[in-house]
Amino acid sequence: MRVTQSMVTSTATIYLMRDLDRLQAAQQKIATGKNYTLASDNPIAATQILHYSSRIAESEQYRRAIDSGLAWNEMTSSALTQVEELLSDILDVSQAVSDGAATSAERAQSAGAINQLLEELVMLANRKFKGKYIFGGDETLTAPFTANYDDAGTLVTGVTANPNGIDGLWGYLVSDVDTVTINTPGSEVFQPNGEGANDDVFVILTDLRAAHEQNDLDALHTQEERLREAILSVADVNAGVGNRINHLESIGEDLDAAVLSYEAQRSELEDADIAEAIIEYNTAENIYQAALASTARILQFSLADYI
Amino acid sequence: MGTIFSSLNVGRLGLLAQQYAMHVLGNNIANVNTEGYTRRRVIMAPTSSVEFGSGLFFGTGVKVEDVQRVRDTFLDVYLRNELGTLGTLDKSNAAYKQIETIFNELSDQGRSLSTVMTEFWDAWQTLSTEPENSAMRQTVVSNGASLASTFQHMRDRLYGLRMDMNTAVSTTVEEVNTLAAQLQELNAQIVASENEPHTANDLRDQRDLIVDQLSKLAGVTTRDFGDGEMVVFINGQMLVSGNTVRTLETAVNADGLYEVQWSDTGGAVDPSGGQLKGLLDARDTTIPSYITRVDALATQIIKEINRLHSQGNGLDLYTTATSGVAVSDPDAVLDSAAGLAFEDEISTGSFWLAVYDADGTLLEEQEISITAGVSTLNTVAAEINADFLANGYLQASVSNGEITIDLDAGAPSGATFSFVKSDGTGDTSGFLLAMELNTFFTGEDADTIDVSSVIQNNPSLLATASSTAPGDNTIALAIGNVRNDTFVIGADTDARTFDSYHEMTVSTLGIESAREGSLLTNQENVVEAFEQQRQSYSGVNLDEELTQLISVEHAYTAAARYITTIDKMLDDLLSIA
Repeated sequence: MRVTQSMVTSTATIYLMRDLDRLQAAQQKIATGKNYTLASDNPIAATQILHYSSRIAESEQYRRAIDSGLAWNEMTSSALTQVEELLSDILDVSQAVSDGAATSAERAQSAGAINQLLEELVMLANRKFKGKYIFGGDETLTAPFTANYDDAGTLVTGVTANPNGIDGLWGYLVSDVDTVTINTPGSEVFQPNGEGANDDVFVILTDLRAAHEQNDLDALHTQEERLREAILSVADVNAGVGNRINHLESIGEDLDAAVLSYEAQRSELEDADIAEAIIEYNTAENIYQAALASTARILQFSLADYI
Repeated sequence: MGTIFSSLNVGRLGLLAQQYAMHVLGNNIANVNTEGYTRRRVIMAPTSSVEFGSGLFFGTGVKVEDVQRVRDTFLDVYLRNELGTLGTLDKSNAAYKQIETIFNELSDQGRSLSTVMTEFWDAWQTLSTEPENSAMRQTVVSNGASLASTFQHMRDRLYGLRMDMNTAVSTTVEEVNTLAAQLQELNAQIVASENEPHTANDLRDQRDLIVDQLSKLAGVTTRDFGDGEMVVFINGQMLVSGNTVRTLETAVNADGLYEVQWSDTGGAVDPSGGQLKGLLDARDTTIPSYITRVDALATQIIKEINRLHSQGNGLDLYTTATSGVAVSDPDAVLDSAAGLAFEDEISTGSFWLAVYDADGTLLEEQEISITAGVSTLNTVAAEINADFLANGYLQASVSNGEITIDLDAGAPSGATFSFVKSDGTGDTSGFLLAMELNTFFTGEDADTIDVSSVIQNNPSLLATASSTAPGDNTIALAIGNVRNDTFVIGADTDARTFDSYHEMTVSTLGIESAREGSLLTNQENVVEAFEQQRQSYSGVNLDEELTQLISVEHAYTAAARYITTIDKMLDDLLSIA
């Protein structure tokens, strides 16, 4: 084949450019640490990378929701434990004077103690976490319980719940399909059968206090029995919260494992193997240098040098 | 036998011929780097022989018969075909690379649509964990605004790219016209200066170069009728013939885009190859298909978010609400004739209006029914006014095609109203969604999407609940979980999540762009191979020319020596006297 100078020049230029392009691609891989910069570099991998990235982001969001749910439930559980203890204290106070030996004066005194503990319980039932009433249901910004006092302003005559309802449930989305209920409504803890029912904790306590005041032993024993049941019921609720905490923790662990696996798969696709990239770079550099050297030489020769 | 002077003349002709040959060699060497130059070859032939009366014929010397271009016209035809395809691929590939940059999905720099979408869903899910928190509400609003501006920005850049292609169409048409005019001129010059069998080499070289350029621009084909003229066609329609040249022009069509047409007939020009075809394909097919996909995604997101949002309550309820869109005619049937972008979403059903006092106690709630094919904006307003007539809590008015719902004179101070029944029942008619009442987004596609100004001004109106309880996160949860729902988006046939629809777009783009890229590389190789062949045939090789140089120089020296010899012979002859 006839070869002309301009063929040599243009071929040399084309190959030099290709070699340089390859060198640049290898350099880019090292500099960015990524295998691909455009979707067209590898459309399938690009789609998978996108998919994994959005799954990871989503899982991290679920993880945050779980953490926030765990914090809420731990706070709920600690409040419930305090409620249990407070109710037990009241029972203790009452039992100290519940046999026939105690005098009416002693019972009047214990009535005062019960009243004080009842006020404490109302405060506990109105406890807030992160600015929200723990036992307010979905009416998180309104105190769930209001204590009403007698004319003297000392005795709690009754406790009324927020008329808008304290039984609202709310949950968090912790996976694509699971919405887990997070809150424990105050009604479940303090008024399982509604305000004013026999098992309304506040009714039990006001009645118990009244029994002490009036020195009514029968009523006293009835209310003590109801209080015992109420303590068990709060303990049950607390156990349920504990189960929920375990459930959330196990979902969280599953999520962590899933995120790890997504990250590993994404990294497999996305991250450049630096050792391999450097070898690629060195190869490209050698080829480029060899091409430069040979191009420089081949363009020097001419018959003119010999005539 | 002729005179000794005729022998002297043989030497003279030899000198002359070699000098011509040397000149052509010099010209070849001088043009070694000239684009489009075809090497020349001197064709020498003996001059006619003479019979000098002895019955024997003697040669009378040499003459330069022709200076020929060494060129293979078949190679030209093949090469020009391939150049046309190369031009097309070149431009469409450039468009794909640009679109990929606009989607910007794998890069760490800038924020891609998928990142912004993810952040938007995350913000909703975070809000669902703290619906009372005003900072979270602000985050949802600003992430929504950021999603909207990302959509707008992508749409703008895609549209801008389309306009760039459009401008390039016009520039290319001008270039084609300039080249065609030059070609016609060359045609005329060639015909005028050529004198059979000699050819106007330089003019032909120039013309070949112009045809190459025209092929790359508009995929032209040529026909050479042998009379020195070259006829040029664009997709079978004549561009240049003989002394006539037709010009192309651009006319602005209804979309504001340039249509390429013939100036004389106004007929459309549909190039079969060349950059012009690549530009037109990118402008009219490739880029619009991605604009459509981005639009379809934005439309669906607006629709689904607004559908849920319009069924919810925020921390604050409304004291006044005006629809975000206007109907073309308040007496037109809403679901077909009122010009609403989301009119298809309206069906027979109902929505609720509930009025609360300052303490959040329900005062009155009424169901407003919508009947497909019957209800108009005016009938809806009339129904609201009739239902709330007794207590005078609410009134509705229609102006400029927009409906406004206000507290009426009967409403106590501090009263507010909501679009949700007190038991959580929301809109089942799609009326609120279509009219943009209590919606999160306004707009209908990637170009117009934005967070409703009502929400931006008061994030407490952001709907998170289906009741009026501040801790109720039902709606926020539902919106946060929309990312896992599947929809048949745009012209798709299968239901997909938003994320996977976008992933599809990116992967289609990647696959198409990669395919165009490899087609371009192949085409470059093909063109390169043809160009090498042409160069190999027509290009100047300096070594070859130098070899010729030696041989011509020797021939010249020999001819000169011959003349000296004849001169001596003459001297000898004259010395006899």
